[in-house]
Amino acid sequence: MEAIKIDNITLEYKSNNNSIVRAVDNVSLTVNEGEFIALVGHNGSGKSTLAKLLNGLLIPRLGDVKIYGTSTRDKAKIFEIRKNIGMVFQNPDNQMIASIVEDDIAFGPENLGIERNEIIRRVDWALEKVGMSEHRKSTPFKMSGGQKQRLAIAGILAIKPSIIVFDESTAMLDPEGRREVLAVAHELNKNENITVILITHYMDEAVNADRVVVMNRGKIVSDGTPSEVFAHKDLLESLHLTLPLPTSIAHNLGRLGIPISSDILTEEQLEEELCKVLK
Amino acid sequence: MQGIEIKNLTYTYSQKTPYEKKALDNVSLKINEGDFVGIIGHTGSGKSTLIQHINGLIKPQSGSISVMDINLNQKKPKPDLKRLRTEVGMVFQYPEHQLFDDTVEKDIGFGPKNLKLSTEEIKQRVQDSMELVGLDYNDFKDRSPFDLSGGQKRRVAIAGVIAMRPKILILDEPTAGLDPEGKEHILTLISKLKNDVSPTVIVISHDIDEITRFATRLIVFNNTKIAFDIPMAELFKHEDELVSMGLAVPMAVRLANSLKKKGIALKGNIITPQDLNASVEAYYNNKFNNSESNVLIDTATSAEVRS
Repeated sequence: MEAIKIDNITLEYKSNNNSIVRAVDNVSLTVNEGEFIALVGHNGSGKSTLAKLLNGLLIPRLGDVKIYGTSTRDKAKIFEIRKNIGMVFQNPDNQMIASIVEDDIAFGPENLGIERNEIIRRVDWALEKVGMSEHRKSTPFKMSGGQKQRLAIAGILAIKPSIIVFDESTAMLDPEGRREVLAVAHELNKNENITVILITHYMDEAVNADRVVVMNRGKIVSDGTPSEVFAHKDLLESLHLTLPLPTSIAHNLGRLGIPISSDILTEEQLEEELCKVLK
Repeated sequence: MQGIEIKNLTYTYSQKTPYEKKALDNVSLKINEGDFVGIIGHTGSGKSTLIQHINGLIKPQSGSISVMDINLNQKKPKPDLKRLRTEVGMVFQYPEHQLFDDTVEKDIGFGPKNLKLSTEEIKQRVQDSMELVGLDYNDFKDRSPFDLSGGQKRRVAIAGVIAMRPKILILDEPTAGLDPEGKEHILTLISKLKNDVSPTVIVISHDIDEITRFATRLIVFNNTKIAFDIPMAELFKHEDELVSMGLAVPMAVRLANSLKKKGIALKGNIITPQDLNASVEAYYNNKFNNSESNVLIDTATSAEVRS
């Protein structure tokens, strides 16, 4: 089933010196329900603009974005779309609104007019899903970045979306926080069948995705499995994107004349391959 | 002494209240002129409290600290904090949040102006600093710092700090939140600044792979104390300790150590991916190509014999 269908969309905006910048340039992309997609590209490549086009924060000038068949142009259904597609942004501090965790998470469903007992059930469930149940009565403000981002995710889960977009949600976190948030994203994808769009510029976060989509200057320049996309070392480097570290080590060893597979994405694969080659 | 000397420093936040929290516990440390130090540790391990002491933002509660011969424990006369903050340049986390002036030139020139330098000297320092961080003076001087990209803003903020020509430069998470290209710029810049501006550089980072690229000394904070303080080249001996503290270990170190357990002992101190590549190449050539080159020599000799 098609969760997202983007059909030839184009959007420009005016930059500070009044020139017109085409942020998204004739992009088409179909995402199936349950897919885990990593959307990568350097700053200004158009990936965050694309994210805002998904839930109707921006409307394309040309073309159409459909979420489960409903166009974001349909003003009468925009709330339905936003209920269906949650966004987790970069800065955890900007996404907390209440001083107690459970109030913060209940905010979404309360605004949807959901009945009290159901809200309580959803808050319990959402907190459990992100592993924060014991913090129910705490205040978010003293928590670590990773914990705050997990709360932001719980707040979105309570609305029961089918799709979650993580817009550089790990960029401001320390390595532990990054691991926590990524683990939650994968868990929700696997066990709750939530479609995930992970926008990132850490290539090592993309290796476990089903599909990697690379953007540059508003266009999609590569789209495939992680192995397929990361095989194009030169393309990625020309876009100022770094390969995942294990992949880059394998490529460089290959260049030194060591017969090592270039299809390496993770540290475990690299270790296995090195054992094979050096034994 | 041109460096930093800290003895038995202990610091507790919100002392004598229910929120009392120890941040530093009996920390002693000497940083010499010319040191290139990387500091890692968890959030709350004490590293930020330590650098705030070095810049005189926090007064020592117990223990002593002296920076570039300025004794920060002294009561009368009070330590010369103005000189301290000229000598110690501090690039805080997300330094671009501290940009405030309406042009890049004025923002970078703010510090030198407060030193009451001449107009020409200020201009010269702004130009030099911009050149160092890789921003073209004529292109950028009149632009608003707020219209720049994230990476450019950060470079303007760093230029503002180095315009003071600090002897000691401290950077707190200098690459946080930047894209790979922006990160690369800053990492190259840090080594350049060490050579051209500040002989002593201290970098705090969560990313140990990043720190291994330039620092020659590594200080690890754990739970308000210094867990270890070692030359970077010895890092590979401390994998288990880092893991037990929940800190990341550089990938090259992890790989080399686990290959060793499987009977493949790579030679040399492997810390960075470059080290790993070089050692793997040497190991491979030694094991497989040596025999090949022997064969070559043999054929050569037999050819000689035949002729």
